[in-house]
Amino acid sequence: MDAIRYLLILSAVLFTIGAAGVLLRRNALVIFMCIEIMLNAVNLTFIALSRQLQSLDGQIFVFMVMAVAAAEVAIGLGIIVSIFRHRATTDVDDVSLLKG
Amino acid sequence: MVAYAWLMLLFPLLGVLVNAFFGRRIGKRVVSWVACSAIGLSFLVALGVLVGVAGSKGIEQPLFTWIRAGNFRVEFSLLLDPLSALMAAVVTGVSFLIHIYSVGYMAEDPRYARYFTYLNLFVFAMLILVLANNYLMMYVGWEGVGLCSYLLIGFWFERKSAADAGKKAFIVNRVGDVGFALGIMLIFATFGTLQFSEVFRRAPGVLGPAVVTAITLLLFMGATGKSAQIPLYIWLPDAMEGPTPVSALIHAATMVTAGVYMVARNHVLFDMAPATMTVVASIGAATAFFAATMALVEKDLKRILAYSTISQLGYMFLAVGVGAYSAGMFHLTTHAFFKALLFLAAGSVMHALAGEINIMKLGGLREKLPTTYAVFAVGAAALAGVPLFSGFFSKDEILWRAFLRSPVLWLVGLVTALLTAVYIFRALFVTFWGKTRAEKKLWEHAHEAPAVMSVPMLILAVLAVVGGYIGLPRLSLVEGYLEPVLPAGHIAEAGALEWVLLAVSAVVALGGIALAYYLYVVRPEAPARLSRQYAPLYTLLSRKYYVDEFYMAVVVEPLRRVGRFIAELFDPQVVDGAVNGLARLAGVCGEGLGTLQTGRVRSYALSILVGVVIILGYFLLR
Amino acid sequence: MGISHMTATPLETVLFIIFGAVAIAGALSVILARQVVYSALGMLVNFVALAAMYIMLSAEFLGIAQLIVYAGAIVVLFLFALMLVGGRRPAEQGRLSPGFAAAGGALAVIFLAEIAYLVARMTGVAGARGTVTPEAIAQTGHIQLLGATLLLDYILPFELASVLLLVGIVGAVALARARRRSQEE
Repeated sequence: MDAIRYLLILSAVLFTIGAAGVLLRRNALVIFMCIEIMLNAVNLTFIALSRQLQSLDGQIFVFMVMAVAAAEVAIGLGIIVSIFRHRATTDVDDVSLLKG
Repeated sequence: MVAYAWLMLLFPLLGVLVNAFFGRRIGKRVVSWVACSAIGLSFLVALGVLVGVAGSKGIEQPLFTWIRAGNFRVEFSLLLDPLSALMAAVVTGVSFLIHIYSVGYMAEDPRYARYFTYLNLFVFAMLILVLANNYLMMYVGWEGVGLCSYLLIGFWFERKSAADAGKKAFIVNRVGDVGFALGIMLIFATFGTLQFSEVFRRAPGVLGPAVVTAITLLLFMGATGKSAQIPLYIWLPDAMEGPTPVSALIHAATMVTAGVYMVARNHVLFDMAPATMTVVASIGAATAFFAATMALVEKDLKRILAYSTISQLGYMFLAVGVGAYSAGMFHLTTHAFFKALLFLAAGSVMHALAGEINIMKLGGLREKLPTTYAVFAVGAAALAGVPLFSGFFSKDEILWRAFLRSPVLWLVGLVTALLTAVYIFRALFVTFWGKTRAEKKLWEHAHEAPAVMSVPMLILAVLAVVGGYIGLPRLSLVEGYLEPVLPAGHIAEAGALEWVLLAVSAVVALGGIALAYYLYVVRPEAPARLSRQYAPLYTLLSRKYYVDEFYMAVVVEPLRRVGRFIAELFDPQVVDGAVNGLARLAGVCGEGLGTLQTGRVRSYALSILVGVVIILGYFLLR
Repeated sequence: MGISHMTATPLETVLFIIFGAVAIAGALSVILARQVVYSALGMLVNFVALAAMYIMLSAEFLGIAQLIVYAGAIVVLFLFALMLVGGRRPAEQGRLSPGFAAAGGALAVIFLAEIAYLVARMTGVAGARGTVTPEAIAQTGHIQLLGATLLLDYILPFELASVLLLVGIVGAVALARARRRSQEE
């Protein structure tokens, strides 16, 4: 099997695991971790294709994703902790104020 | 100085901004300093420009491109020529004096800063109107002064009459403005540009007689609204509900003359439309006459002056209507001085007597208010056209030019001159002579105005006397100054005839004064007898020819009825029905769709994944 | 263009497979663990395995950054948050509605199948080849090359990313302050 195919499949598997986690788990922290895994799966794709195309542009993207992820985690975890202080839960199904 | 002409606009604008945003915090002293110095500086710039553009055909000074859409382009440019410079100098000069007067007159008013904000805004808008180099900019100024007029007439809006008067002025002006706007549109449709210089340059080649008549009539319709001519004059007497300095500034000296200025500015077009010129001159003469008759029986001092203003504006239109544009501008200038003076003096009377304005409840004020009496007398003499006062020269110039066109117009003007002398000296004698009819308490408290009010009046009094000498016949500085813009036309060499006419109008003016003296001083019971004897005529005049009632019945009532029909039937049933129906529809849809929104993050994530799967499926099957 | 542009020695192939397996195992333990703290540890394993793969793909700097930012900072942040919300309890009570679970699982499987099919059908990677071969990277150094690209060609996105991080800091501080105020009340 070619290396690029292998890497793309691997990244797809990791992404699917993350997506399944988001769907099947209710703990906000775990869902958040799954989102991180999905981001990492995409990063892997970028780096693999960057290697394939012999260009650094994809890696710049990875760099940006890391910056975004860092900011996102800081804010996201702040929000989760904040919600926990108010409602003593980290279960996303308990937080449904946006219900129409 | 001409290069800095834009400062003329900048200073009042800064005054507006400072007083609008900080006026309530910085205290009355600072507010008045800001407002007065803004106009004062503006006046200095205007004087510089007045000197700077002498003899020039006009300079266009572009400031920035205002509108650019396709090949439609409007520059925000100043047109600096003798005509606009003269007008700007008159506007800023008179405004400056009235600003200072207002410091005293409005001293006790709780909305002091707002008053000066409006006043500065008015000067700013008026200068835009005057300095515009294209119709659109002029229209902005035109509407701007209309807005300020509305705001200031209704300044004491707690009084229902003031609020109503403001509305009336605004709506009546709107009627005229429609004509003005249509005229501008027609000009744009014909020329494809709105710039004065372009329009005037191309006009002789492009315009047919029908189009130019239509354009000028529409423009003149705007002028009848703003300058209170028949049939749209009815707002001006009511506008006296505003503070008196406002009446002096806006409703006598400056804004109402905008129509005259506009016609003079467009003289190239008007000269090409003789039919319109006839209309303008006739309406001017008719307005002058009818307004003067109404002033004869009015009892409210300010309203007398208001009718007098309408009448004098009629003179100006008579002048431009017979092609004597510079004579019209000359009378505009002298009128600005003496009419502002008369209003300020009336304001001084009100100030002294706690707002009393009915001349039948005044009288004998000569001894209590000597300064006010003196300046009022000077203003009245100028207005009546007593020889050697300013009004004499400018009015005579108009009558002389009218005579050349048509002796009938001259005769109407002459009779009006007689009536003018009678009504203004009636006001003078009844207010200041004889024994007082004022309430005792008011009478005892009557006092001369403070210096801040009397000094501007004295300056205006001097101007009202000497203002005429800039336009002496045969020496005419005004005509010479305006010559580059307003060609004087060839006046028939008349020599002796002109002097004869001069003498006739002098005799008429003095005769009018004598008549007033006889009627109101020598035989004070005579007017009452006369009014009984000619009761129908008296009633007709004192009810102002029933014009207000006529408009009420013919225009306002039907509109009201339509409005009521719409409000009571059409609106609730049809409009509201449609709106409510749509709202209900949206509500039903929303309830249906709302069940999709569970509020649970995971179900949203699920739908995202569904979308992703479908998109991927599309790529698979492609 | 050859699909097998990337050549790998047998040792590399074996390492790829091992790290890939570790990454999958880590990811699976994130979603399968009963307690959140084990999920966090699984995530750590996943991140480290990916860092190793980055380095093998000659993106050394990103590999190191992965270790520092993800495996270091982000995992620690998660553990802190976990500490604040009480990590000893089971992650969640009650059961998922079976319908939703089935739908979610099925969708995930379909998604994976679709991607796998697309990848299998793929005949090549479109796009122009650049000049940054693994040899060039080995010669000049990954950090220099990435830095030059970042600060010459992508300076604006770089600056924007720094603004984004600043906003993140401000946001985190704001959340923390709001919490303190609501406690005081």
